[in-house]
Amino acid sequence: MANWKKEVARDIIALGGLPFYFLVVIRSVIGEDSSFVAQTAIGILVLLILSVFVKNSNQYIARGIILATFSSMYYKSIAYTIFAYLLLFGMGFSLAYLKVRNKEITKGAVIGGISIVISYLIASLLL
Amino acid sequence: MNNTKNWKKEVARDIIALGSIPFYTIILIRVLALPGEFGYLFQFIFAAAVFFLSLILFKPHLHLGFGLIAAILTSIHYNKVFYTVFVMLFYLGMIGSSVYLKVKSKQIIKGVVFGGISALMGYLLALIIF
Repeated sequence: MANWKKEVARDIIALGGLPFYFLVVIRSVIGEDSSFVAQTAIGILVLLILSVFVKNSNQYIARGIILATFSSMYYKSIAYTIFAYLLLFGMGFSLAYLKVRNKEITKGAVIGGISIVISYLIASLLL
Repeated sequence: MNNTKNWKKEVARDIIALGSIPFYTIILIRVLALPGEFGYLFQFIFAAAVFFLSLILFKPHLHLGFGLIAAILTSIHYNKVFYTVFVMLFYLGMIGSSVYLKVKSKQIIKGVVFGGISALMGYLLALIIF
């Protein structure tokens, strides 16, 4: 039972994984959603740079926040936004369940948030 | 060395999770937001129902099954070679990751077979009904 719960928690966390992030960006390249592609592509670069300075931040939650925010802005659907942020909270709980330190989760959430603001501004200037 | 191994295992687990139920639910919600795509939505619902049945009866690998359903149905929908090739490469990555994480080959094969059958049945059932 505990193992089953851990597997589900790990599945939810993987929604902030690099493979999922990459899949979403490629999918939007096909959909020719240039602003979304620019925001997410710049977002991951900004996050990478911030991670060099902010040590021990959780990258899963950081990428998850970037994806949830930009995809919600793109779809402009209340139902989708609620769902995306519920998943994000689920990711936070799953990380805590798998005994990731609160400090690490918080740092990840903060640099994810900063990455969103910076990448949104850069993408707006470029496009 | 240990860290490298751990890192590889985490990436492999991330790739396998692309066939998870949370990921499948995201696709469903995304399709639900598309106006007038009931046929497409029900392809996923029917395929999931068929696959759940096979899960009870034959115990295939859950992630590989749902992953293949998602790969096949989205490829048919988008109808773009680039996307299909990309998704199939990802799926091969899922199989490779399962092997790397020492999932039994019998379970892998059952996941692929029943995932394929479920996708086909979901597609056909939705085609007949809608």
